[in-house]
Amino acid sequence: MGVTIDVRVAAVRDLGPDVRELTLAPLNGTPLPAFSPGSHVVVHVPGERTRKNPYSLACAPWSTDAYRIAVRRLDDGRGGSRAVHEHVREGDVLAIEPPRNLFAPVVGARRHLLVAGGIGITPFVSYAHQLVAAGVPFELHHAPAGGPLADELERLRPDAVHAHADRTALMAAVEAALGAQPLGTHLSVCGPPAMMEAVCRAAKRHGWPGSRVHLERFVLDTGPMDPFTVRLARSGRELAVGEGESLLEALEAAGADVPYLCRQGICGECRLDVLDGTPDHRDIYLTADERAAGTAIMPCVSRCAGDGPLVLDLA
Amino acid sequence: MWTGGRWAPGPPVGTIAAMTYGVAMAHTTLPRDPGLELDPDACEHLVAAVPAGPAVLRLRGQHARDGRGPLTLLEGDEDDVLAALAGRLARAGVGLRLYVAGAEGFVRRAVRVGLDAGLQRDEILTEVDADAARDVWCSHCKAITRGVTTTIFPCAGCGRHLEVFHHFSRRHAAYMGFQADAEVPGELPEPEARWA
Repeated sequence: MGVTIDVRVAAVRDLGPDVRELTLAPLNGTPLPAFSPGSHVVVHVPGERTRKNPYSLACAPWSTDAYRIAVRRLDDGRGGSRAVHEHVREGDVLAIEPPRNLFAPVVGARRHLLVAGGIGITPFVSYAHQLVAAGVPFELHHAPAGGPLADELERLRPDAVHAHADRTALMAAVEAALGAQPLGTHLSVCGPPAMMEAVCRAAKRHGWPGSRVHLERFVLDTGPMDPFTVRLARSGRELAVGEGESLLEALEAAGADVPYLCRQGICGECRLDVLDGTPDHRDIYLTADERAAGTAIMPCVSRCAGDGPLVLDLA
Repeated sequence: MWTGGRWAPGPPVGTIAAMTYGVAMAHTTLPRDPGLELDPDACEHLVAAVPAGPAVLRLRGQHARDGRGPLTLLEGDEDDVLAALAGRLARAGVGLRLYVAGAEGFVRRAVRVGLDAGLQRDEILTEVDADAARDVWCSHCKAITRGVTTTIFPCAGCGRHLEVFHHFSRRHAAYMGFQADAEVPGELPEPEARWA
């Protein structure tokens, strides 16, 4: 879909045993677009099959000379992060899509309480730069101590960035913080699903309404990715969706023009109509009623229950 | 209902001067009052009511049964209540819900104090259970006329006959009024008693 920007991998740096930072610079010196805090870019990761993976931009929002992303290697993921670790080298040229944002800080918030687990710290790098520049008060709690990017954030605002040894220590600090925030504070959380759920439960216990709680999900438990068949009703074409390949990737490979944004089952952009077959819903976008009806699917993460065919209203 | 190029013939729900127009209330800026229902998730309940009436009585009953955390009632003279409200909210933390009841004008002014203090709209529960008369801001002389009960009324600031629009300003805590006979001076529709 749409526009891509070619960037050169200007630097590769290991931030820990399983996290690699890429610095992405424009090819011809044309500045990259500035972005809003919390933005991500979809990186076209080369390999046997091109993966389009979203990564948060872990740099100041005005970093137009180079973007930085931090990629955690997930061996049981869809292969994109592994490909970044194994195949991407300094000097390589990658295609990225312009920044998009599904996790922008609330405009008008008087204070921000930020909670990060592991690699979930990445979107808060751009937050912290922006909030420091704008003079908006914030506190960031993250675990584990010594994790990637933590030193950079601590240098930026030592008094506002709090490292905690592990999940237990993090949750204790978050509990205390949730009970002591002035009116007008917003909570933003990014981390593993279980940690985000624990923070949400704690926020509810402390009387926080949902409108003050903002989540960035970066790992969806997608489960096994078994092969199945899909039929495009308008042309009658049948496609095989391979093991480990997403339905959206299979459709793109076959030339179907399906709009998308997040590729993580969050945003709703790639929704397609299902005419027959039973979807195996793995997104967090569709409502319970829509899931039960089985007439729509988010092809970026969802699959078919059984071998198919899943019949889509596409040409 | 705006359908992209023309006004669809919807049921008329109001008038601009002598002209009938169709507008869905959901698309207006008019305040919605969800009612004074206790939020069982809140840790602290702050109630401001001028005058305190049946809604507060009901809320206190709910709080006695299901309430978590303290309930504080501010009542009495409006200016004192609004000042006390601003003072308490300045020291309050997230987890508080504000409940506002009483006369229409007071409810809108108290909501403004709440929003100014950093509350979200969904952290403020409102119910008008007393005088429904409105405060109307004159879009000509900028004066606010309090206690308006009819659809057409003389502005307290400039004397123009104003029509009350389906438009509410959170900043002014008042509805918008516009000269009812702006097209043909002296040609005024019949005022209707609406908010008595």
